[in-house]
Amino acid sequence: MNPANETIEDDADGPDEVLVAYLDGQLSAEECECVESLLARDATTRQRLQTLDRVWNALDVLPRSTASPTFTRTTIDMAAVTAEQAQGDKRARLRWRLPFWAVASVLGVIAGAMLTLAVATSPERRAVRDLPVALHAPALEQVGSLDFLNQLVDGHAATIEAFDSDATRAAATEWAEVTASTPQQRHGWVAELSPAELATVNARLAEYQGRTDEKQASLRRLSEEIAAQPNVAELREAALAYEAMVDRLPATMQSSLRQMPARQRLRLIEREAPRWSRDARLELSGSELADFRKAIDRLTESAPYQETGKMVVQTIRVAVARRGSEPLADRVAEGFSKALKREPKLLLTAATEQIAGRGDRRGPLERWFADAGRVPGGDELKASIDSRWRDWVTELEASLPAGVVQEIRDAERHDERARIVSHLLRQTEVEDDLPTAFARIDVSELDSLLLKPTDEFRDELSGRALGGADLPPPFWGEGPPPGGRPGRDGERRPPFDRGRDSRRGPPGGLDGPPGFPPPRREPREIDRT
Amino acid sequence: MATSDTTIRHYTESDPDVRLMLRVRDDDAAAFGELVDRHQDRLVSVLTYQVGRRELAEELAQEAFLRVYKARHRYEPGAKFTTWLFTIANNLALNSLRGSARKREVRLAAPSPDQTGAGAPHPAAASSAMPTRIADRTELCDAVQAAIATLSERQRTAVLLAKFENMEYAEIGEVLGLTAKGVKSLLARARENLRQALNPYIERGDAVGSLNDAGGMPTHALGDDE
Repeated sequence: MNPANETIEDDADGPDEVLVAYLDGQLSAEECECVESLLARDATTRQRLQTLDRVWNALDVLPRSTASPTFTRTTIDMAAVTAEQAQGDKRARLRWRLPFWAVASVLGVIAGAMLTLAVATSPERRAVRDLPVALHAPALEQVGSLDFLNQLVDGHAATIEAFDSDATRAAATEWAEVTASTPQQRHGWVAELSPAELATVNARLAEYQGRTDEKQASLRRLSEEIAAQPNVAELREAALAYEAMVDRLPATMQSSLRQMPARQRLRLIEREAPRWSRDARLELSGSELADFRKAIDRLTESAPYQETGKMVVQTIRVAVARRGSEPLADRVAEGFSKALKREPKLLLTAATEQIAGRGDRRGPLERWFADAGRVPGGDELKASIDSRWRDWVTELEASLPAGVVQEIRDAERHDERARIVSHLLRQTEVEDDLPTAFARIDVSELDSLLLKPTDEFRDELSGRALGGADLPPPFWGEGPPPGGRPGRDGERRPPFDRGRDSRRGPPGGLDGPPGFPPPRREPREIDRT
Repeated sequence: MATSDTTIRHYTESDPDVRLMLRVRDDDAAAFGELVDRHQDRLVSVLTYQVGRRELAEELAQEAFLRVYKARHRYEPGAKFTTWLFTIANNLALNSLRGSARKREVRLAAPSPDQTGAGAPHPAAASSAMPTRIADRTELCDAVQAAIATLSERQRTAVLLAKFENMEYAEIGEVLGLTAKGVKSLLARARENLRQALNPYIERGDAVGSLNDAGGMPTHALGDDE
């Protein structure tokens, strides 16, 4: 028998293991030669190898998840809390050295209690028992402790007043009724729910059950502590109003609030509640948002608006030309022109941020406005933009609900007005719509689109031509430069491939004649930089 | 077991994550943030397929990073950082799966749409004018997800680490507590199981072939199903 055949067919590992290892690039050069020699002669082995490779390639279709935007922040926050707790525990261990018998007794009691619970409670009974806690777990979790809730009600009730609505009052009543009900009554209550309500209840229950046992126990404890208070109704209503207030905040902020000591948290919400309350009043519903978007489109497509854009670009060009070379000024001007053409709303956003006094927080146009006072013609430009911005806002107001318009007009200062408009503009940005936008791409455009650098790819997705996904503009300087990364010779190269190509691959081929290099595996991930 | 100086030097020089971790050991918070940034998506991706729920995967990923942080003062570079990180994550995932096997989620009355997203429409399927190729890919995607779900925990983890993380057999072995030879055998069996599950698609050939042509881009993020 041929030595190559012997290696594969008589291999104790089995023929597939050798072929799989060959495909994974895990064989030595000598072993690879044996495999290739066999592949050159044996069509069945070639076919087998091809099938295995096709199966492996099919896995490329599996979607990859992305961590939530606040993942890093919350993880770092939690790590910081862990470090502080570790310090505290260390100190506590030094202070308290319990005798062995005490520890053993406590452990015995806990073990006994756990055994009793395990025997006495079935999963269904537990679910029904925990229903009141599960339904209001988000509120309990946000509140965190009875001490905080008491202080909130006693000295800071005004901070949550704006969020104490008919809905929170009804929810508090329901909370009381479900808590007071017997298991049978709870079954009856569940049976009367509509399918949509039932889905919500089950989702809350699943969320609660997904928490750790310790977390569930702590939520139950807090719920019981609240129930034991004389002003229980008031406390529940306050907890729900507090949840309604903080639920609108970014997850990182919510996490920070939960970890703060009660006094510090109360000070912060006392200071910020008026702004959060105003933001809540300014929240637009789906149809209101659609009207507002249409109004922005009308504005940015209007001739005066586009003229203003050209004026801004021209002023920037002149300023850069005076400070540097003409070619540089042309390049800068062209960059801004393209950006405004691609995302006309940029000018409105930049002007709003500038007037709101936050000109340096976002893109280069905003930063440029912030520095306008230092360049020739900059002051005139700022004044002109300021005056036109008022007209733009007046035009946009026509699409907004009366209450929101009143908020804008009631603002005492110009920068406050701009902050309100900025808040409204931010609501028009849809941050997580990439998958939907991607799924809408016409197949004829797909291949060319996938070959584009990240920033151009994202711009294309955010363009109205591809389904109207209104994504926020990319941060400038983020991701690979347009046209790929620069090479040493100054030429552009494709963006980095961090895929399988970086590792040692099998030296043999599949689709080509046996013994030829394997088909190149192109990167298959969307670059998420 | 103490790590030799040569091993420490090797990993410190060859693995940028190890260098970051050494900074974390010295209480450099920024380095920890960078490590989290670098690995969060990959960790969440693998864990999502291991435990079947994105929310839980994110919690476990966070727990894995916290364990890394808690163990920072005892850290010695005895392997690639990712091997260590995925070993922790794998242990957490297994614990979680065992825990959830003990306490199954209880639903009241009629079940609502599946929490795992099985009942949720695929974003691509939402469009009635869906091009055939994306529809094919959607169908294949569902089939591949179902095929992955049929694998044993170990096979699934080995496949995910090999496919998503491009890990060598020896590294996968470290994560799973197996020899490289054991991983070789495990992966061969996993691939055979996948072949059987995906046979109709492989035999038809066109769906997989078109994937290769288009670079096999995923049509949606997993989190959208949940």
